[in-house]
Amino acid sequence: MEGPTPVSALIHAATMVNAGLYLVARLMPFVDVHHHGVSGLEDFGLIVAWIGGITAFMAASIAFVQNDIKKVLAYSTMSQLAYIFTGLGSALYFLNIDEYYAGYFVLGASLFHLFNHAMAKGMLFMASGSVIHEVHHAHDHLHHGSDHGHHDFDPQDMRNMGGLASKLPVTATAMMFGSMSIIGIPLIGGFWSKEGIIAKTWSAYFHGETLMLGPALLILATAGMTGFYMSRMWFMTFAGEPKSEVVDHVHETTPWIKEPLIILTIITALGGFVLAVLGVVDFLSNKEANLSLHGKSLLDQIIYELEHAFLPEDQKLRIVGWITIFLSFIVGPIMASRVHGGQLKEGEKANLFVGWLVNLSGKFGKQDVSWLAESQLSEALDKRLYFDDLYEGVLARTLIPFADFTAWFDRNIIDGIIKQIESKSVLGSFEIRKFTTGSAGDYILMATIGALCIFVLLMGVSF
Amino acid sequence: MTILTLTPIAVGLLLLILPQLLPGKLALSIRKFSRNVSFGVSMALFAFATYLSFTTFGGIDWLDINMGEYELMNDKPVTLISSIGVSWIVGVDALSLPMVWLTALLIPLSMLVEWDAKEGHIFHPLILVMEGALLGVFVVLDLFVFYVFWEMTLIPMFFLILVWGGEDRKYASMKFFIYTFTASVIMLVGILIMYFHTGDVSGVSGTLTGHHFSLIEMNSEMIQSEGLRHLVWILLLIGFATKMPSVPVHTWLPDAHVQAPTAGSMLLAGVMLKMGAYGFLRVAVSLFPESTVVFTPILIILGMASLVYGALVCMGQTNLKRMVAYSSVSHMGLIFLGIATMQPLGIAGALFMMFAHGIISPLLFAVAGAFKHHYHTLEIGSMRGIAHHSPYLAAHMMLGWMGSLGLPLLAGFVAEVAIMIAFWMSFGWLVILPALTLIITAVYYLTSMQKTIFESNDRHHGILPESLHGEEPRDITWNENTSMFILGILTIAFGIFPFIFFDMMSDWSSEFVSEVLLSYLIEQGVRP
Repeated sequence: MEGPTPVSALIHAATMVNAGLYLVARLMPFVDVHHHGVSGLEDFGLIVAWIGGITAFMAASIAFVQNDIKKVLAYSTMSQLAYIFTGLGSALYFLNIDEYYAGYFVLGASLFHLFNHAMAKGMLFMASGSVIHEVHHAHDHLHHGSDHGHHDFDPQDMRNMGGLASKLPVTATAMMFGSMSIIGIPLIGGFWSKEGIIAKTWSAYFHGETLMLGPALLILATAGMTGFYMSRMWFMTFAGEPKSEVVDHVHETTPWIKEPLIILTIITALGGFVLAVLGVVDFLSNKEANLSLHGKSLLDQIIYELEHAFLPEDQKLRIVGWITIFLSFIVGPIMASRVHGGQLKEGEKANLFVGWLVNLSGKFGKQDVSWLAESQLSEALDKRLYFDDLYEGVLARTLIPFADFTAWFDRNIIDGIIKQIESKSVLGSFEIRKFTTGSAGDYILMATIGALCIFVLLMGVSF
Repeated sequence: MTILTLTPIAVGLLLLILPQLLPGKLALSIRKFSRNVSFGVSMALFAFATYLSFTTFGGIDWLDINMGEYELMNDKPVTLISSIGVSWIVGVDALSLPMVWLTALLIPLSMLVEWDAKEGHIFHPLILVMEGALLGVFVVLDLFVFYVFWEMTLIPMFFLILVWGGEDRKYASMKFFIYTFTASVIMLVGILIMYFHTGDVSGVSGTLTGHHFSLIEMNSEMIQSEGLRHLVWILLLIGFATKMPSVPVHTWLPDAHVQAPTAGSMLLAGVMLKMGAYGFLRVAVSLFPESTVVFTPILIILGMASLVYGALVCMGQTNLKRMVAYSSVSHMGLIFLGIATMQPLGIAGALFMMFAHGIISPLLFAVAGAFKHHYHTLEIGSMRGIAHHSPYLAAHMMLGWMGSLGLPLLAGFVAEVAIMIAFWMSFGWLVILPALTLIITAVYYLTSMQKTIFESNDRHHGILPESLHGEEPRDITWNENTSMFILGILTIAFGIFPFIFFDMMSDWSSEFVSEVLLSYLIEQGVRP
């Protein structure tokens, strides 16, 4: 995430990171027993689902404590892609036990989530770039000509922001819709796909696979956590009182930053719904299907999709669906607003789209969580659960010393042996040279000994 | 082929000797032009080799040569030493043709890199003599002459290291000479055992011993005893594996490379190492397929050891040129693995590895030599951010390093993938080991690259090594640049269009496996 923001938007959110998911999705024909795939690979699906569930939960919890706006988005990406991974895991499972309708459904939902997430996250990264750019700009403007305080200011740190909603109206709106899509606020973007993944993962559990309970619970919890960290990011950046003097000088000045944000905002906000109505889930998983209303009227299709999302026939799934909505829509955002939300500074007014949210965020009171922020858990999360340290430590303690040892071994043992052979042969020739004394007496003695030896040998042979 | 081999030797020797014989003024003018003449001759030979390789010269179809047949042969063997049955037979097939072309390519390029070498009137003719010897190794089909050329390559290289080498050149050149000479003497014992088991054949008449050295007339049935066949194979392996070089007989290589002048290391890595692999395939595997099949485990162990161990040693190096030298050891291990698969694809991959490494590793050594030349140091840790000062050098370094670590679309990748796939076909999950080693390869290449040309905190200034003594560094000169540029282009070209040579290589290997190896593979129960 150290890359330039447009690069992050393109490869870290929308394209490159999806390659792995794409490969897993490509594996579907192998396990699809209904179409002559290999049977007996349910465990494969379970492993994929578990990896997805754990990653989703872990990344979401790490995103709780990040203060760098792009890092929050980065961990959110990890978490959301893990959702898709879980979905693909359940798809593998369903296809392998010949429940191909459910399998195709969750496969389509996963790929749909991939699309929704790419749109929303690409836009969020660009919006975060806008925020960073303007804050940096304002800081340069503010400290023009003076040197002090210049170097320890981090324009990506959300602790330097706050109350930007009135300063950056377009960016704030864009980020709000993007966050909503990621959280899965009903009717907006990612809701349509995320709902499907969670529901089908649970239905794999209800189907009798008890091991699916883990991933199912993990991604259900993650839904609430997503609601928290995305709202936290938004509230920390755009709501509340400004946390540094720089904020007063921020303006949305740069041209050509707004336009892509507006386009992507529209797609993010409406794309999910429109595509869901057009039957995108079928389209993505079934090669015969296409994007259309399937012979029904538009209204019928909308009602069908809404029913499907909010009132599924299965009682259990209905409960799961509403718990998801409750956690991600109500619990997460409200908790975030209690910690970080608040009214803008007096005299500042946010625009129509985001003003209501800023006002709302101040209504739930204030909660002090500094005790939690100083806890060990928070530090561990801040250090990314020590994964980097683990890898670096393992490498620094195993491979690198081993390589150094090998280099030493090569220089001193293998080459050393060669050098020994060389120096010993030099020494040997030195010793042998000593026989060449130049004294006639020595030579006669040696010749006599030699003749004697030959004589003895001949005796031995002849007897 | 005779022209190709003998011209450079003759011209090179003439240029070396004439100034000593002729009176002062004429000698001076010859010295003045000997550099240009050498380069001109090598370019002409390159043009000729290219013409042979890429056109249907005389109706040759390189993809249609049966096993045991050679193109461009001289019609009748010329008897050289009739009393012991030595004759001049040359010819090329799809195994040697890429090597011939590679040699003809690298000679002018390495001359170009060291265009301004001191004592140029000796340096460039020496390289020309080297070209003749190297080409001779690849085209000669008589084992005696083969051995003569094999040893003849040592002489120019010995002088190149001894006269134009680094600080420790005396030790390195002696070590290089004695080490490889010892190994080739062991190989000679093997050749002589084969020689004494040949029968009299027509065409080589009037020998006192009744034997001959002709490679085309030999076959494994001539040695009756199975044990002796295995012994000869082992003797040959020792000779060829030292040249390749394979662990544990590789230690001459780093010393020779580090001390050699740039042109010397380029030829050493680019062509001389391939002599080992070429000889192994041409003599040991072709004549003793049964022993090869029996001793496949030895090949795997040697190959794996070279690959893994070489890569690990690379990681532990702080000297850029030493690291590149050990990476050669590592890559040569892949060749053994490719041969050990006994699959057409694996052997074709090994052949392509020989070729690809032959164009990538000279690039690496040219880059390392340029570091030595312009920065006066090869310590990886002593500099940072060189890309600011030498953008061309940095670009060439990046391309070469990427090519060597096997980036897709570059030549090395084709060979690696072919060998890996064949390895999987033959040995299954064992492929994980070589595949993981490629990660180590990436690690040492990327870290060395990052530490030298990138990673400076200042946007406009790198950290310069102390050996510059505060001087402003220069970028590489035009001749270095041209040479590296050509090698870089070829790396890319053969990465995207490997079939230029890969087709004939795979054709040769599939024929080789089906004609030579398959019956023994079935006999030994390796293949059903």
